[in-house]
Amino acid sequence: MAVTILEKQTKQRINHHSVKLSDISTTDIRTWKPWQKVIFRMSFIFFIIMSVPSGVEWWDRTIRLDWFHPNYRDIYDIARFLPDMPFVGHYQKGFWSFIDWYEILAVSIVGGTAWTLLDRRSNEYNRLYYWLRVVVRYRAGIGMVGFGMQKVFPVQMAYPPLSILDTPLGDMTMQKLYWWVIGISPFYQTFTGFVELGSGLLLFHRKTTFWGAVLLVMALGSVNYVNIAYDGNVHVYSTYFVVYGLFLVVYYAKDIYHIQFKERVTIPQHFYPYFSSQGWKITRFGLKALNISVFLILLPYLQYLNFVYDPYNQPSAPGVKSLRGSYNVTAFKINNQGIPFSPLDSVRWQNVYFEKWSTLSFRINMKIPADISNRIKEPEIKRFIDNEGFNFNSGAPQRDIDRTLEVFSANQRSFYYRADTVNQVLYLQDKSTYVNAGDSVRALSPNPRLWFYKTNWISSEAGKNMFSEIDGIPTVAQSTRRTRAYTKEVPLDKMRDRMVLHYEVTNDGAKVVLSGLNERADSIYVELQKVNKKYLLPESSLVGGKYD
Amino acid sequence: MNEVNSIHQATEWKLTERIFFRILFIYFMLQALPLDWKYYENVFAIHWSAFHYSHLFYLARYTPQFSTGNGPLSWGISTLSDWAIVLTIALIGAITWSIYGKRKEYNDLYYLLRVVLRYRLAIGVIAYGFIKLFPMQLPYPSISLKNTNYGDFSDWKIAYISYGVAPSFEFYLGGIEILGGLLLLNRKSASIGAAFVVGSIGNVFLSNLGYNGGEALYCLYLLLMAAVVIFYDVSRWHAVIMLGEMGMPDRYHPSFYTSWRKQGRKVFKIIFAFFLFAIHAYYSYAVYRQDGYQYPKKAGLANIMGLYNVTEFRINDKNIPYSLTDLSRWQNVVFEKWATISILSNRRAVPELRNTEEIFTKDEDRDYESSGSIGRFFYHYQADTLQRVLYLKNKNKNYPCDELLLHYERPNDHKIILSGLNENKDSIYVSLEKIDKIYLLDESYKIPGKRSVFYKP
Repeated sequence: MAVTILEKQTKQRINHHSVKLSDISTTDIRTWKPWQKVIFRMSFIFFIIMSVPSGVEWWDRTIRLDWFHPNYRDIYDIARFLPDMPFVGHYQKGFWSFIDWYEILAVSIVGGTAWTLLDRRSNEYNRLYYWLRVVVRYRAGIGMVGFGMQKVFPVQMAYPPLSILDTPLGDMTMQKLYWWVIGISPFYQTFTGFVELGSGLLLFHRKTTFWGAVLLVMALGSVNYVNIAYDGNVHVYSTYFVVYGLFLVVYYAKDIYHIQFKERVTIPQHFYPYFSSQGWKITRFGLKALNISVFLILLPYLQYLNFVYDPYNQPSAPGVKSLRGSYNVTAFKINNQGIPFSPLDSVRWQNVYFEKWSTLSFRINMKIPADISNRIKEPEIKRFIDNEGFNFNSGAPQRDIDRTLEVFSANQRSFYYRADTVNQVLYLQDKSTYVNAGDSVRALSPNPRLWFYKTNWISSEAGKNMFSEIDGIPTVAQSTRRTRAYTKEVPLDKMRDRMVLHYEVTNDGAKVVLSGLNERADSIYVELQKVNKKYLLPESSLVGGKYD
Repeated sequence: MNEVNSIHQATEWKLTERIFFRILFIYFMLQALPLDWKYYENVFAIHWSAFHYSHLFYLARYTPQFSTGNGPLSWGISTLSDWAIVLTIALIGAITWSIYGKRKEYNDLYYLLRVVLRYRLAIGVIAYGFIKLFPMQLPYPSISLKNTNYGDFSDWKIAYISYGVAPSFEFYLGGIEILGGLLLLNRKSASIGAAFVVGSIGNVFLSNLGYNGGEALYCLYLLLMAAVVIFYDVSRWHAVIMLGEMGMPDRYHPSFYTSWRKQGRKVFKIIFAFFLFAIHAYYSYAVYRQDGYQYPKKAGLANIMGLYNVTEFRINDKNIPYSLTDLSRWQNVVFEKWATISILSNRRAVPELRNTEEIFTKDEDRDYESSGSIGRFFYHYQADTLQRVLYLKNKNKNYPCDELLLHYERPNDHKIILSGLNENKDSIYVSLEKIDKIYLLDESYKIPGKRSVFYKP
């Protein structure tokens, strides 16, 4: 039909030019060129293997998913997987971090060649191409919705806590700086979230696929570059989506080239399967409804709950209200020996920060090891950077103590605490993952001064005066995943430094005295004077978590 | 039929289309063409013998400032009131035009408008692109910035610093802008180039809104032009990509009847594109070779660069011990590689909040290190190395009288003793000891295998 319109149009003059039939560009999709068929067969195998969750971990967590008490991360994790191929190892950085892909590529080349040899009759793979594009579209779309949702409700990057506001900029890693800079502007974060979410939504719809893919390549291309430039840890995962986006764009490339650069009248030829049978119609409707209810209704709802009660990158249980704030240390005694203030002293605390959540941070002069960048695997270095190198553990941690976005700055130590508010005692545990060789022995030590390294260091009487860790957030935001995390035994917990400190607040909260045992069972006495800091950095207008 | 309609439109435009076009044509021509006489004041004030990238930068950042702007070499950016004036002129002009205009289509003028906007956009994004391609616009933080607390910066400054720590990312951002600019120079790829501009400048626009930057309006100026460029091709992309229907290509070609005109146009275009690219590349690289333009250039005292702890501080012969609260006692002092000293005490500065990009050629104007923070006091200094005297002048314009005259002694490489008069004419005696500080930021910057070509230890 299009051609008949065209014949009419050839008689019309458009400016100085007219349309001739030879100016028309269209593609006969009934017969593909041999090389197209070969490339397609390989791509088909490649993208199918890439799109099927092959890791044991994915199946394990998805089967164990409690749909009656879900966590936002449960749903997000359904969309979050990378191919995990047998026979190859895992590499964090560089060329070999893509090793699973190389294996898949090899399999696709071999498989595609075999397919070419066996299938000599097919002229085209329109139907298969259509379905492959459906798989790729939905795989990419669901992933993008997952990415976007964490920023639409700005939780992926948190606003810096008090201790970070008082940390010199050079005492943080590049990766940290990148996360904070997004965290200080919820407007910007939310907007990038809408870009990613929008890209996902456009990919769910066949006609808007091209725009969704272009948006995906733009957004994730930048994320990819950020991860490489700032030494992030998701460069493989972001590349994955960029490859998917590019594959979807290729479909339109020829038509775009013809109309835009060859300036020919272009009649696109697309193949769409005709869903006639009732079975097809129901299946199609069912799958679409499932996708929408899980990823566009349930996930946003859970993400909203997460934002309001349990923003996943900052601790969520409230801290002791009367303590919150920034303090200068005005007096410091260790084993009854006073130490005057000096910025060079490595024992004396200089500043103390009680966050609105249950973290105490303090500044001391720590010896920063030289040449950290070449020694990131050594235990000593882990006091400053995480197990993964210069990254920090982002995303998955459920327990407050594992939410380490706020720690790993030079000259700063952060402790997670539980408070007996009746007797005014804090039970503190180190948040860093740094472990000394002898640390695990402390729990077994017969030395009575080290009593607080025993398993039941919080007596049952004291336990009655504090909320349980699981009840740190309202019931509505609790989930099976979170409960499991709190009930599981974690070996690292037995090796963490601990302190037990009594607190006393006087002068309407202007003065606080901490006294008790530090991690080496030395008795310490710390006098704090509250500082009402005025920061130049504007406060965030949109912050997650409830700490009242 | 859609297709048939679109062809009719090509020959005779609808009344509303014509009216809209007349408004937009006048509006965008006034915005894009350098018609503001003040611009030429600036152009004539340039010393061409001392041509610098900053001149290219400001020439490219032309915006008509009919209601704002002042004297030579104070290149500003237009404000909403300037836009209102332009829009008023456009509306009045369009009404007059509609009364007297007889033409039923404006294909030629539409082409002309698009050419002007394409080149205006290309020049605009390329000027900003090269200072990122050679990473200078967002420099790596100086020692003073590394020793300023996070909360003591403005959000705009944090944004600059946070992108500045990753020069390879900056290079990528600049590369996208330049690529967009180059694609705009060709008629057929212009819309794709404009889409690149929407992506890159759109991001800058949102950053300006999200971090209180000062160039949101200039970004919007470019974005609206990009939208006009793209709009020309929207219907055919919509037909081919979204509807899967027949799409009509751009059938308008300007008539250059004689072959020498055709050839001449081609030659002109190539020369223009080459010069646009080559001149920017040449002058921006020249600045990059000299360590960029954000920090001052004049070298400080030899072998003095570093962070110093204040071990002893006396004011009018009274010793003040270490203190986090005392307002007069210095806590630490930074000597930069260039002639800047910054001092940390418990005093908070009244900050200068410059939030637009400026390329200053004179050291005393270069305020990147000091603006947008309240933590430290920054002093530009002149040294008399024979008398061993430092003359310090506060860089912050809110402190015009803050000057110090200090005698210095260096008992050894790690120690400095300063004595003299402070800003209140109190006599001070300050003993400094160098801290060989290791910065986590630097360590993460030099991870093996990640050191980019921009890495300068």
